[in-house]
Amino acid sequence: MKDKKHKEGFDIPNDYFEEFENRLFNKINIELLPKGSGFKVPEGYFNEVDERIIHQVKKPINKIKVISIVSRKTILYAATIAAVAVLIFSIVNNKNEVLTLDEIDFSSIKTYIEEGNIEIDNSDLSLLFTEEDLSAIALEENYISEEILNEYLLENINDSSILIE
Amino acid sequence: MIEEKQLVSALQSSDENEKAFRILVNQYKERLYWHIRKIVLRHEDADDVLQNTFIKVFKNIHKFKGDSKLFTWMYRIATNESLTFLNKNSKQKNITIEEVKDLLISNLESDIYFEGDAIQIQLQKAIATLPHKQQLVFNMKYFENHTYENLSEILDTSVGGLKSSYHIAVKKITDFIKTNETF
Repeated sequence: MKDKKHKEGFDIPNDYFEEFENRLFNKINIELLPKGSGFKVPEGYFNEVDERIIHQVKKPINKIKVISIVSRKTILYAATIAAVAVLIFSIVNNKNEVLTLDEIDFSSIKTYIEEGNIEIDNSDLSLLFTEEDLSAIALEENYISEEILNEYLLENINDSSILIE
Repeated sequence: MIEEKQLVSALQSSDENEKAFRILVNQYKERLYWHIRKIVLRHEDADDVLQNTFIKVFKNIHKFKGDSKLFTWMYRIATNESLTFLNKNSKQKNITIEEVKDLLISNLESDIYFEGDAIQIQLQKAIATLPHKQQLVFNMKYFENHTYENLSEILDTSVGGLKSSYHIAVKKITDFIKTNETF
């Protein structure tokens, strides 16, 4: 196409004509789409929703107040009372209870260990004995007479097949 | 209509906040509801999310500094609440958000609060195939008629980016409807 003899001085944005096509087809496409979404709300919904929202907004504020009183003050009081009680109890107890190992009843120690209050395994135990103590225990085993052993087996083992063997 | 600045300062004051909040709910409930409904699709869910949105607005109004318009700020909260709702739903059902949306769309026909015809259901199906951001742009531009400037503020995206996003969305939707024509 020949250039016009006289120029009007008008200008257009870069790529205007390329973009024009896109925009035009886009508009045509949009025209083909349905205008409404098809969604509706229950009758009178927008008249009643306000009150429910206001009610909901007030609710959490009340809740937060209740929680803050209970959780902070009550727990603080309870914790203070408990701490003071523990402190008094431990002071009073400490005055009287300075015990040596000899003063503690042997059966109490045994019960204490049997109830699982101290974790002691075999290797810990072995460390408490000298080699001499251990050989003494081994020697003691040899002192069990055949008579005593038979008596023990008869009393404590029910499986007669072992005795037959 | 009460001036936005006046409304914000009333909302932030302890004496007038309840009265101001009633005005705010009254002014924005419908717009926010329809925005939420397009994302979550079921009326009952939209109702829940709308309430959560206003609760968040009320609780956080003292943090609103006026850097954006009040309604832009509320739209952002509504969008986040809607997406959080869909996320929770997908975690509870142990399926993806896309699958949640498919499920919701397949239930539209029996939904008593949906009176759309076959092409409107197709339109919802087509929207669901778009990436999340394009869904938002399309719904807000096509159904709610927001300006690109508003959208730019709400979605924190440039006007140019939004325009191209909208055009791509329209193209995809019309292509989907043409290829899946059942009416």
